[in-house]
Amino acid sequence: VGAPRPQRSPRREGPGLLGPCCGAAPLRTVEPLEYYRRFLKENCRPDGRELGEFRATTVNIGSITTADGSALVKLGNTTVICGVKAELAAPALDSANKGYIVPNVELPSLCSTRFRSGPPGEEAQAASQFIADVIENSQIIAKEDLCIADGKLAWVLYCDIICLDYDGNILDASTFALLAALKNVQLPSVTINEETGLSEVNLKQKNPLVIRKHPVATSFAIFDDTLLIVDPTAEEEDLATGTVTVVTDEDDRLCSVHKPGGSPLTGAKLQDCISRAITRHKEVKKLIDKVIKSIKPK
Amino acid sequence: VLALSERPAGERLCSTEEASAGSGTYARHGSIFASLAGCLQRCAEGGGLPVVSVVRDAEAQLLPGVGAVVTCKVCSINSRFAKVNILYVGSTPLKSTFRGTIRREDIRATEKDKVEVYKSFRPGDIVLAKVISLGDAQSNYLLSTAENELGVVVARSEAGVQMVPISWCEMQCPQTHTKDFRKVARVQPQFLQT
Amino acid sequence: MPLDHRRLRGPDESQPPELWAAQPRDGGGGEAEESGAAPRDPCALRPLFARAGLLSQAEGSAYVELSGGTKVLCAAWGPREAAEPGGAVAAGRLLCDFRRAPFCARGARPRPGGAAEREAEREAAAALREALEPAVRLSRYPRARLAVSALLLQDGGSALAAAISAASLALADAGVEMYDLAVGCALCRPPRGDGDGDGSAAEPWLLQPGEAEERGSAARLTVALLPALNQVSAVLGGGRGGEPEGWGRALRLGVEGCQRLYPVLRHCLLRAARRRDGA
Repeated sequence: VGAPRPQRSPRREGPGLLGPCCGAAPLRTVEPLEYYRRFLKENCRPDGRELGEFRATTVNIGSITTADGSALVKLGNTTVICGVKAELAAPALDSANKGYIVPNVELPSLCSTRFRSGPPGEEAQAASQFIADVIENSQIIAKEDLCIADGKLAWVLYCDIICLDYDGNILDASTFALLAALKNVQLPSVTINEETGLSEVNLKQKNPLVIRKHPVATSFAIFDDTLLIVDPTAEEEDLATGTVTVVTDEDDRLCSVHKPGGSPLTGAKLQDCISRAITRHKEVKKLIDKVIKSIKPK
Repeated sequence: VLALSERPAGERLCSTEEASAGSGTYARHGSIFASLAGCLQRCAEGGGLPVVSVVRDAEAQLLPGVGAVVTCKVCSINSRFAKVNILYVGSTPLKSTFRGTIRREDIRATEKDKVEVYKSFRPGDIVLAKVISLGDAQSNYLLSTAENELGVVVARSEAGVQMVPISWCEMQCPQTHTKDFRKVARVQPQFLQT
Repeated sequence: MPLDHRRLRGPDESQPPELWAAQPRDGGGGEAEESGAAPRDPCALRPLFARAGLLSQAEGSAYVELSGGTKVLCAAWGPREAAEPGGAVAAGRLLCDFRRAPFCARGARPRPGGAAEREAEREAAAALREALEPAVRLSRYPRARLAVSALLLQDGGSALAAAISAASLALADAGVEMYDLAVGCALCRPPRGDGDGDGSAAEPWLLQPGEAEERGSAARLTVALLPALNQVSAVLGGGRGGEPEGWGRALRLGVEGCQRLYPVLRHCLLRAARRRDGA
């Protein structure tokens, strides 16, 4: 959605560097924070956005046919894909009437040079935990809905979220991809044969999941302890003194606030974040409804 | 110079009898092939065979080569050498930094035995240097500042202010007026920004 | 199995629903219907879609899709400082990484990070490197390393071949100097005996097999070709039985398949170059 806008870069700054550094945007590599502050003073960002402006957001649903549900979300350059695979398992002993949702975020070496190949690093683990918390707190799906036979059989939804292009704000993109992929899931119907006690799966007859809540994440980067900018790029995240992610649902209720350390934030600023997140929720919800509607007639 | 249409990597351009292979191309089996995806250029030089080359408009993937002037940032110093990160080759920024070493004996051309590393560079300084070797199995790029035009171009004082060069071996803080030793690069007018 | 603390694990055991499907598995499955349809032309190529230069963080990137559902994304990075000084100073090194998305295949989801999955990925990465190395002018990058990362998003058969093509496009898109593109093409031979014994056994190799054909095959082969130089950069695969002439014929068929795919990749690279220069 939306064409890339022309760069509104104020080119007048002299980098004040001698020597062959006078190439393209030397300040950006040598003194990135100073470079950034010059834009913030003018209330804009190097990519031409205003401080409160989100990047173009698109979602594409159901493109992975080997998954039971899938979605590809783009937030500017940041690209995240979520594939859901449903399997059957016995419910846990302590929650016999519940199924499982198992989210995992992967940041492969493909998506950025900052990640190495191998097992998930710190950031991927933190993102997985964040997504798990969002699922738990928002009640996006009632785990009871995933139970087929009490204490015997339940669905496990493996939600694998993989970042394909890492340009900041993967939490928003991952949450969105998860929601869109879950809305795309079609589960085969399962019945328990009364006589044999065995479960029978009918792959021809499929039903969508019941999505109870629509959590949407909105992230902010804090600059120099006071300034808030929304939907930060990777570069902005690196330079920021902190980040906040606010998750709200369609009833304007708060599902989660995620603020991993960084500079402190006043209550008034946080309130501002929450009200902006509520506005953003409406935009994202509208987008997802439109996409779901467009693929329904098939 | 004549720019023709784009060529993909691996495309046969012409026979080696018609031209000689320039940058972005290679010769094999009597033919010249493109080794980059880019624009084909044919450059005729007085009498001899024309040179064909393929160039990319997008910034080339440069590696610091021997003889190249590079801009680097000092990471650490000790009594024998300074460790630096190479940021630019010529005026082209590198996509990732390469580590380099300026040994004590390569800091200046004269009175090499009296050179002291900490009187020449400090961590954080921006330095112009020349690549003298790609290094061996133990070391990385070896750099030299033993020319008048090479040395520190940007340095900050303890107060955090950018210092002004006052001689070939001293810089001064405009705020506190304290002086610091450096191997200062002679400012070349063509590099001065306006 | 050691506990993986870095991932959220879910229950210890779970089964794909296909296992409990009401219909008997060998008869009514969707795949059987496909193969039950008219036998396909063994030399038919699946239409290939390729696009280069689509990722922002990688220096070069490419996406290759084979119709029928094989989707591979590749990213490439130009010369970087080699992690450890020493080793070969004269030439650069090519590092390859191959990942399979946990949802890329039908049936059970493989446990990411599991021993079997890691082994499969390592094998694919090594195969990718073998196919690409002869195509890259590594001598132009002394003391440096080049990197390629491939991610298989959906495996609809011939995945390694698609990854080879995508990876060489990504390297070329990154501006890495290359002798040629490496084009990959896969083949497989269905098991002898069940049905194809009568007459059609002369040329049992299928070009660019789908996932179902691949799963049931007796032998598999992936050929990588440098088309402009007409040199084979790698022949990967194996299987049971078959006469030497049969394998030779398969190799020729694969090389021919690569030649036929080359124009599509070439066109894709030119389009990316034009887009890049226009921007």
